[in-house]
Amino acid sequence: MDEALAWLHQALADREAAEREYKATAKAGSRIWCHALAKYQQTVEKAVKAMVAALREAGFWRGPPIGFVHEVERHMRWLIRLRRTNNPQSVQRRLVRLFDADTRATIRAVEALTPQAPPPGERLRRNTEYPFHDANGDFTYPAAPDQFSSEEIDRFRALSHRLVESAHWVISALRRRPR
Amino acid sequence: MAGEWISERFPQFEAAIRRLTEQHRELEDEPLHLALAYLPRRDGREVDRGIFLFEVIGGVADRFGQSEDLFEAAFDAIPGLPTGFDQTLHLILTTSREFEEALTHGRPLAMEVADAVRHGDYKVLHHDRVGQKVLRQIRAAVQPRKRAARG
Repeated sequence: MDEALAWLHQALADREAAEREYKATAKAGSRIWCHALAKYQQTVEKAVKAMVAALREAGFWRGPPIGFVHEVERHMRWLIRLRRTNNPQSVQRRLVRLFDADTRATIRAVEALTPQAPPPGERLRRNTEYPFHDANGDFTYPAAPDQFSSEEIDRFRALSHRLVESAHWVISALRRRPR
Repeated sequence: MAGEWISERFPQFEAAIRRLTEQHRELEDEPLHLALAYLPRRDGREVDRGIFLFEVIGGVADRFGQSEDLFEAAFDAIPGLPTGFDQTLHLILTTSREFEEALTHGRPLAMEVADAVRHGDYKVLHHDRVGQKVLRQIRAAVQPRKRAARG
């Protein structure tokens, strides 16, 4: 199995885990969305990395290895700046459409929910895993009810579905690219 | 013109497209069910440039739902990335389930493939049992139009 497919399969497995958690939470009516959200974030991250790996394997990009950094912002930056042809159906132009401004903003929003050390002197930011400070500076935690809205979960769920399926078709097409 | 594509244009790239299809058959984790080269009509006219390859595949994609349309990717030769074709290769990918739904709902790319079959402007490069079923679906989908045209 090549690297791109390995990332894609893990993204699919994360999405299935996210869906199980999402449906169980919805059924229970608990409104504790942090676990599903964490998995949707991981799905998005791995789907983007799968596309990066496929593009590198296909020779569209030569750069450093994907590495262990969770954020995908740096990948998005060059995914939309690949050398293009004029053909609107080219993979390069498809990526520009896939990573439009709204999508990039949504990816940044879901990435912002991963636990990160705050700058010195600042409050701990809301995230899906670790305790953090609320608006009053008191400690709270991600699994406290209603820390995440149903609008947020729906938005990030839709993003993860779209990205993982798009990643699959981009990878499948690149594997079939004539050389 | 119907027939001209088969007799004149297809032979120009037949060897290359058959070679490419053979390479795609080697992707065992995404089994190739059907490969069909065709001449599309877009904006009401036959497309006079480009090679169009429609493929029905299996594997991971079988786990996905219906998209708005089939996936099309175009490959042009760019410096450092030759394709082996002197024209743009358009690759249209789908799964058997997605294609069946796309035909039912009249999605543009599915209808384009069916239209090429209706005009006889296509060449089957590979099919297995699943691909044979897809071919039957396409032919069944274009059949009523023939009757309507005759009636």
